[in-house]
Amino acid sequence: MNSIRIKELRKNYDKFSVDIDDLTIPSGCIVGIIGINGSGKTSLLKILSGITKFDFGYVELFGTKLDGLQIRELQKIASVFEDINFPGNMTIRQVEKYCSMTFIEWDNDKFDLLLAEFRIERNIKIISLSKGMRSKLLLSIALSHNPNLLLLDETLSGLDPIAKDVVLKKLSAFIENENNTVIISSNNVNDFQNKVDYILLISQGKVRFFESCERLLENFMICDYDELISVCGYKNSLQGVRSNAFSKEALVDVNKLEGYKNLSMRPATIEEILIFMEEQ
Amino acid sequence: MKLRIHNHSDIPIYQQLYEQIKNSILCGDLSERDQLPTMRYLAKELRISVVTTKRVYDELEKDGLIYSIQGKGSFVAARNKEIVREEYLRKVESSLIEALKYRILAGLSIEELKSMIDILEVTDE
Repeated sequence: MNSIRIKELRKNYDKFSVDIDDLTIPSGCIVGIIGINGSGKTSLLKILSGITKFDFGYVELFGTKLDGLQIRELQKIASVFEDINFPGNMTIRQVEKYCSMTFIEWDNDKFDLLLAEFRIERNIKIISLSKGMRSKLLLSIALSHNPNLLLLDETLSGLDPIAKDVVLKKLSAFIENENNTVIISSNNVNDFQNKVDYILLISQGKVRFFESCERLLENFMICDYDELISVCGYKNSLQGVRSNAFSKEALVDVNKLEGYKNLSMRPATIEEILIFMEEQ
Repeated sequence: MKLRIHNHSDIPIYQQLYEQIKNSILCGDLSERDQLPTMRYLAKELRISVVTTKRVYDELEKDGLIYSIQGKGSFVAARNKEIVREEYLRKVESSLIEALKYRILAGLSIEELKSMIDILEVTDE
């Protein structure tokens, strides 16, 4: 089953455009979006959440066109963005009241449990929350209205390692139901190593690749550049290069490489894939 | 069934998981028709991707160690009795090859080796 289908999507901004030809995201998985700042991670998430209207193209969520979704269906999408928040002098208690009135499928018991787990007091005001507490609160709200799709923009940044672990565990539990999907962006790419199912790399508004972590680990390798060019048929496989004063390394997709039996290689981490592919 | 995954091992995660589940089945930890945890539950508990656990279950099924019933789950296959016997036969064979190698170094004749087997059999009872 597919949670999201995108065809020929285009949204123009001042300095760049989100331009996605063809992307299909299955349900029941966690997708990590990576890319440098300004590459379009947040923009894509805002388009998928319905917050930003796109200029051209076709976006389908749960089998229905995005602009054809009814309120109840729209509330199946839960999003957490860095720059969207409740008014500063609202208390958490007031936020909770607001949510119970807004969301058709609001589950107060679940919200209670999450607040307790994240140790968030109800009497405090939004403005006095730290970045990490804010993320935990918004995530708690997101998980409490029975969504099928979680869109999380940089939700892990600002969390200490233990909190990150707790959040990732919650996301894993969320997709235990194969109808649920999580799409989460992060600048700290190593958060995703071994923890997400797919990686989507966005660069200048375009999708560079959308692959399972399994395949990335198996196929993306780092080797010595000079050794590589001595191998025939290497051109298709070269994904990026990085050099310093002492050596030049290449990132290769071994699936596209012929005759590499004697090439010494090691698997690339996701962070290295990003760096190599972005380095000019 | 006990499962431990090493994230930073040279051995790919799917391979570690495959071997450990296979061993559990073959050494009798899991019995015929025992239900395995769902691949999603496994992914969540082991903190690995569902793509990986799905791959492992697909391979286990392909190798005849488990079978799946749509809507119910995955179960240990009945055929494993033969597979277990095959494993044990392989172990007997490799032990014998070892014994044959060392009997030469020990200066033992084939007859002496055979009577050694009889003696050991008796003492074992």
